[in-house]
This record gives sequence, C-alpha cells and structure tokens, in this order.
Amino acid sequence: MDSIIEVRDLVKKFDGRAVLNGVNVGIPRGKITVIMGGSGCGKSTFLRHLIGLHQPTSGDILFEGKNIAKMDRNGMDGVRRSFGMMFQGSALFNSMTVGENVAVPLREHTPLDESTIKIIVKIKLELVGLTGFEHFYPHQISGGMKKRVALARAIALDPKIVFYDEPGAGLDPITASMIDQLILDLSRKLNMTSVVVTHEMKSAFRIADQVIMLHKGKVLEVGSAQQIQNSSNAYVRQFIEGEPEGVIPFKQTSEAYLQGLLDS
Amino acid sequence: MIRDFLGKIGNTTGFLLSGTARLGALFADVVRYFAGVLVRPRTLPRETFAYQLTTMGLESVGIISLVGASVGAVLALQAAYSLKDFGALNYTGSLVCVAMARELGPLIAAIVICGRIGARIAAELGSMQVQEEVDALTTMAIHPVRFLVLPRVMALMIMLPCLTIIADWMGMVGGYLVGRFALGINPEVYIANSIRALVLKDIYTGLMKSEIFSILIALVSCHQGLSVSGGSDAVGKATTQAVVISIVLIIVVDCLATAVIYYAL
Amino acid sequence: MKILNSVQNQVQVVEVEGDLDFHSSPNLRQALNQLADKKAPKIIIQLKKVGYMDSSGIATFVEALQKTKKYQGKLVLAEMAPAVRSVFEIAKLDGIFVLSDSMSDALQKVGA
Repeated sequence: MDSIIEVRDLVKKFDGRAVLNGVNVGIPRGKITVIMGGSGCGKSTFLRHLIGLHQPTSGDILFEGKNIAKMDRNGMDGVRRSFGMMFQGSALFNSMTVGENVAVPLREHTPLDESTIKIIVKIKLELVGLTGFEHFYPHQISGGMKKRVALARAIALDPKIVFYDEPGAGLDPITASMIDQLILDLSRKLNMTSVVVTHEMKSAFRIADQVIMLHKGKVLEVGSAQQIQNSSNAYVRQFIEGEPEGVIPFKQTSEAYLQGLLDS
Repeated sequence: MIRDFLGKIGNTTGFLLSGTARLGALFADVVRYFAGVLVRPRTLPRETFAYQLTTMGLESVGIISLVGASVGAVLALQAAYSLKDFGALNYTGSLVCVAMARELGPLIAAIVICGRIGARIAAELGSMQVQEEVDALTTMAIHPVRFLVLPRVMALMIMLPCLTIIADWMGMVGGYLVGRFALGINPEVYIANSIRALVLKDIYTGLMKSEIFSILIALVSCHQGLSVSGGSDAVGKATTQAVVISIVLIIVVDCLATAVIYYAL
Repeated sequence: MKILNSVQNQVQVVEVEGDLDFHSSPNLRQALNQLADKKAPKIIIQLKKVGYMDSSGIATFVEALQKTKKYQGKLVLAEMAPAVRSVFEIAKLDGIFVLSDSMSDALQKVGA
C-alpha cells in the first residue's frame, strides 16, 4: 500500500508521562483514514504530531519520505502548503469576514490576482454550502457554519491531505452527515487524502477506508471499517457498542482510591 | 529567612533575564520580517495593519487629548504656586511647554496607550492562542510573528508619536487656558515666554522616547498574548501582566533615556 | 505550462499544455484577458494536454466566462481529461460552461 505518511515508533512524553507510546502506522494516499479511541487515548496529540504542531520525544514521521519530525521551520512551512487542517473549534479569525478567512491562505501563498481569489473563495464556500455568507463575521454565524467555513479555508489551497479534528462534534446530524459527504467527495473525486479524528461511530464507519484504533498511546488495531466492526478485540467491541461494562469496567474500584481515602 | 530572600532575588533576576531574552528574540524576529517587508511589500498583512492603525490612532485621540489637557492644566497650577514666590509667575508657560514636550507628553501618551492598546493586544492575541487561531496560522505556514506581531508593532510605532504630539499640544493648550483665565497671566507674555523656552531638541527627544515606548508596549503585549496557555483566566492574567510590565519598562527606560539624552550627550 | 494561441475558421483557439496550478494560472489569466479585451467573439480553450488543474484554474475560466459574457462572446472548453473534468464537477460548474469532447464538436458549438 502506498502511504503518504508513515509513522515509526512515535513516542511523546509530557512531563515524563507517555501520551503516545510507540505508534507505528501508515496513512494510505488518497484514502480516508479515521483515528478512533476514547478520550485521553492520545488521538488529538497524534494528530498534532502529524501536522507538526508537536515535536515527538522520539520516533519518525515521514511525509512523502521526508522526516517532518526533524525538520526546521522553513522545511516544515514547505510541507504545510500541502496540508489543510480543520480545527475542532473552527479557529476562524474573528476580526475577518468569512470570505477573508478563506482568502487568507490564498493571499499569503499564491501570486493570484484579487479577482481570481474572490472567485475561488466563492467556489469553496459553495462546496460547503455557504454561498452568500462571504460578508458575515464569524460571530454572526452558527457553530455548524463556522465549522464549514473552517473546512472551506482548509481546502482553499487544494491540499494533498486534509486533517479533521472532530469534524462532526457539536453539529446537528444533517450538517454532520453533509460534512461526511464532503470528505467523501474530496477524497473520491479529487483524490485528496483525509485523516479524521473522531469518536462518532456512525460517521466513522460511513467514511473510513482505514480505521486506526488508539488505546493508551498505542495502536490497538488497524483495519478497514468492516474489519473493525467485526473485530474480536474486547476493547474494540466495547468501544463500538458503547457499553459501560466490559474490559474497561465502569464500576472499578482502584486500590489507590481506597488507599487514599483510608490514609487521609 | 535570608536564604529565602536571596533565593527570591535570584529567581526574580532569572525571570527578568529570561523575559528580556524572549523579548529580544521576538524583537529580532520582528526586525527580520520588517526587512522582508521592505524587500517584498506583499508580505505585510495590509488589512490588519490598516485596521490597527485606525483603531490605535483615531479611537485614542479623544482620551489622549483629555488627559493631555488635564495634565497641562494641573502642571500650570502647581508651577504657578511655586513660581509666584519668586515673582516668576510669567514663566509658567515656559515650564509647562518644556515639561510637556520633553517628558509628560511622551509619558502620558505611552501610559494611556499602554492601558488601552497594550491590554487590547494582549487580550486579543491571548484569546487567539486559546482558540487555536495561532495554531491554525502555523498549520497554514503563516508565521504568527509576521502575521500578528509585525503589523501591530508597525502601527503603534507610527501612531504613538502622533498621539504624543497631540498630548504635547493639548497639554500646552490646557496650561495656557489655566494661565490666562485662572492665574491671570497676560496671554501674549505667556505665549512669548513659551516659544522662547521651547527648543526643537525638546520636541524631537520627546518623540524619540515615544518611539522607543511604542516598541516596548507592542512587543511586551504581543509577547504576553502569544505566551498564553490554558483558558480564559490565563488571558486575563496576560492582559494585566502586559500593562504592568509595559508601564514599569516605560518608566525605567524613560529614566535611562533622559539621563543619556540630557547628561551624557 | 505553455500557452499556444492560434486562429482556426475565425475562432481563437487557446491551447494549454502542462499543469494549471496556483503558480501558472496567472499566465493563462493574462492570455485570456488579452483576448477578452480585444472582444474576441469566439474562443475555444483546448485542455487536452492539461493533466492537473486546481481551483485557480477553474477561477481563471470563470473570470474569462464573466468577461466574454459581457460582450456576448462565446467560450468553449474542449477535450478535458476526466481528472480535470471532475474538478469542474465538484465545484458544480460543469453546467455553466460549454464543454466539448472533441475539437470538431467544439467548433460547431462555438458556431464556426
């Protein structure tokens, strides 16, 4: 399989606590990879490593053969031109209109004329279903709309790979499935690679070509949506079915808890 | 006890040194991107620059005028009180004008702007940091110092000297009004004395100082804003810090600059 | 990217060769603007040798279409590769352009 990103022995420690503990995985080119896992499993940290917002404690991240874990700022900026990122909280610039937000990467990185940029902005906004909203400010539109603007901005430069941090979180089911459809379209028609971090099962299985299941900073299982759905791993089963009882018991009573209470 | 005390001094010194080093690094970055703008003007984020110029400048004219005029008036009242004993009441105008141009104009303009604009910059950049907007810039391969810090530093470097001139002028007007109507000084004598006392050096040294203050305020505020990590309480803390650190630095630097300009040169 | 201008049966034919991306499309824009400024009534843009096109390419064509519409000129995009065509489809712009699969068909559509 042709991997656009190859992660090898990725370890990240915050103050000595390992959040990622030896991750080995590949992101296939032109496919949709969904990263799943419970809260605190390290999936957001993993994503931030892929886009170079975190430096790993050890290990390598190869983007098209280049190790971005050891790159300087200029090299990283070059790589980032082929990245698009949609943040969980949209991260729109509040002092700019919707149109200007989408235009930022175009104005900064291309020699295009302002009239061409305006047309591209319109095309991108139509893609996310927001035609006519150019002149609104982020505080004037709803959370779901902000997310769609963030997506329009992420794909403004036609990136090779788009990263999505919880694209469906906080959206109504219709808007969420619209964004799913958009991710599918971009991937199928334009051959864009997508990396999606989510814990929403329904959406994950609808779009995923490959699912990476993270647990406690390690890759628990990698496979197609179907393989994961039919997994025999107890934790994966519990996660998919959303049961409170399983290998991760809800009513666990830890030694430390009792000890702590009795000692005080 | 003594060890604690010494430890505290050591910590504070270390903190001051590392803070100064970080400010210096930020300044070096700003200078580098400024040089870049001179070579390729396209690299200046024009919209932000224009926006900052107007918000910093126009919106501060009123308050600067008011504070400037009040300080000029107070200065005239206080000066007259002492000068009267020497029979030098007519020199009130000279004193007010020289003090405003050399010292008080630049200083009050800087302090008002520090509270108004410095706090605003720190809060704005701080919340951008909290809401991942700065990360978004980084992932778009847009360096936050060029995109956020540079236009603010440049705008303040242009606007603060302008506001200082307004403060100088309004202070002189305030002093004149007090001198004429409250102290009963002959207006022609007041103006003549003022013009005789005021030399060009008073004005341009004042403006040089305000240029330095503007860089200090912008750098400290941007630095505080961009180093926010955590939630909204961190934004609040950064905002306060920005104002406090800027004011302390302004006064210390003012002291040094005055000593150098009037005694060493 | 290379741009070749020629005239066939009083039709301006613009032949584009190479990738049409953020860095090359300003050149195409300039070439098309020149034609629009001259009010060329019939323009065919031949895209047979364009392997890759991004949004800036589409935007350039939209701008050309806007300009030619103003003086009732005709603009046909001919012989697009499927990959390029899908860029139009995903932007929902395959409807507003006159597209054509062969040069002879394009000449017919432009009314030569």
